[in-house]
Amino acid sequence: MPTNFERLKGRQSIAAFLAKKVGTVAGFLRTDHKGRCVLRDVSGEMVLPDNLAVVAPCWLGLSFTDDGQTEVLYQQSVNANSEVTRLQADYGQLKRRWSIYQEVRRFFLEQEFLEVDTPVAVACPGMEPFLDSWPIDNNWLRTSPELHLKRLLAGGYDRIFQIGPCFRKGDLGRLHREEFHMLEWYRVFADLDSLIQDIGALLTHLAPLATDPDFFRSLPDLVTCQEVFAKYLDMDLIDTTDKTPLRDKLDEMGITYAQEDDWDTLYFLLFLNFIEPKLGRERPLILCGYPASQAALARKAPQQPGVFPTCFRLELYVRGSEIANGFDELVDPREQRARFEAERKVRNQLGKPVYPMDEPFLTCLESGLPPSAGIALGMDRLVLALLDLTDMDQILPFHPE
Amino acid sequence: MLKTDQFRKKLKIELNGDPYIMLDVDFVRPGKGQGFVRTKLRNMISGSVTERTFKSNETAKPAEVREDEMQFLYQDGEDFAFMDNKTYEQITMSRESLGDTANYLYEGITGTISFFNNIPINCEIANFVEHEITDCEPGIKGNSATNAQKPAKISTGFKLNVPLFVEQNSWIRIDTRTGEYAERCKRPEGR
Repeated sequence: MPTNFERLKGRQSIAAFLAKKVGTVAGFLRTDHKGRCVLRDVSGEMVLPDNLAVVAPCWLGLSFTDDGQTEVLYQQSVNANSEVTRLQADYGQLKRRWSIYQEVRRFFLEQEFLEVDTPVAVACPGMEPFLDSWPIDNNWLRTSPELHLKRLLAGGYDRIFQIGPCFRKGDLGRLHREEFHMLEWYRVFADLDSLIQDIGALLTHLAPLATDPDFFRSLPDLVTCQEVFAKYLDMDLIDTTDKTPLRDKLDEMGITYAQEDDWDTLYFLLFLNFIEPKLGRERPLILCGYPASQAALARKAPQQPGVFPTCFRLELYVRGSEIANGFDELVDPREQRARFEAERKVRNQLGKPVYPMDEPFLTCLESGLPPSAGIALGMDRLVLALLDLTDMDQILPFHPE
Repeated sequence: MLKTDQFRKKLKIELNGDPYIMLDVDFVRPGKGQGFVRTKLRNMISGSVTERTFKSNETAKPAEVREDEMQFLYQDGEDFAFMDNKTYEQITMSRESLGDTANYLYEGITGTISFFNNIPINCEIANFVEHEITDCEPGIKGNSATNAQKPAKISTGFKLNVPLFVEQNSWIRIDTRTGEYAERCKRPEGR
């Protein structure tokens, strides 16, 4: 067998082999719908001669001599090649994915951001009522590193970034995985304007790696939630309490909702059905002016009578998918504590685990966190967007187990 | 009741009294808010496709759709008679509920018929079926390399385009998903 491995090293891609029909090829073997044996690699596929019988899909190395003889150099055992162990994405996509990761790192390091690590298992994984996690002893897997990153900001770090795994139980879809890679970056003495500049510069930096570089070189559009509701649904967002205009619009558009649905749920039913798929089609788009009720950890804009209440939050959209979510950070310790308390109450009502108050984080806010801006970006989704793909399976080696 | 995390492609659910089959399911969580499940649904009676977004904890009623293998017997005006292969029970389906499938039925062909509340709503047949050309212009030899086509008719009265070399009374295979000519074939045994 070792001698065969040596011979396999000199193999050609299937595309190259098809031009000469002589030499060694290897790839994944399966039968097609006509019952023929087909050998496939990243370069292409070929139908094998009829005299080669194949029982089950497997990895196969073959040598073809110029007198038409074929020799099987290596055939992987059938068990090792069941559907379960097959890689989802092919080698080419995985390679492109990792070069994007490297360029993201280079972008931040060149701007003298410090790359940092924060714990994966934490006492408070994030208080958001709708995010779920898994327990580890007395801790939880983080749903986001943001609370620890802000502790670093309060400790004197002025520009930091992190790329690491985060966990959200139950989030599984074409653009969602229960464990995924998050990029977060933060600047002190900064606001949404600096995040908008960062996003533009980052996308331009990554453009050469994209399938459609010009798309990512264009300056992102900047629009508010009010503007997109007016544009796509011809409706005015007036406040975040009166459900009647939202219900009327849902009725008009033929979307069902429940009487107990709150304002934000009705908002999202409209947004997801009629607005989100249209965002960022011609060039990347930054959506801002979020309703104050969806502030999460963002600072709220000062309320003015007769003006739609908003918060300083933005999201980046590329071809209908949400890529990043940024905040002009809430740094007021009293309001932060009040929001945590409110979220703990909701978690309790929903019958979900109520996490302990993150006192170390609140202490850091009390010690004085300068005005800061930070943003969380889904790395896997960024890769999908750059490669113009639509499903996590296309860029991840494994499907969730 | 089915919860949204049980939603899968091909799942059948009942909405407003109609059965729907799920063509596509995707989870989405905008920002860090509540999760939603986007679905694309096909009405199994009308065939129309709609999109519907469910809240993550919402439920849907499973549609009681039964499927039976049946044999096509004969056509009587706009009614098509089928017989259950096991019980020999007979039913009729209208051309409207058969849709395009009516174009490809021949005596003895087996179809999978879906029943919703005991009413036949859909009939699935094989992706490829063989039919004899009953009406077309004479074939032109040596023209197999071009893509030019001519109109032709099969015994059910269905019209389609076939390559120029296809002769009257020869047999062809039709892709029932598109209604297009697939290839020439031999007369199947027993037909």
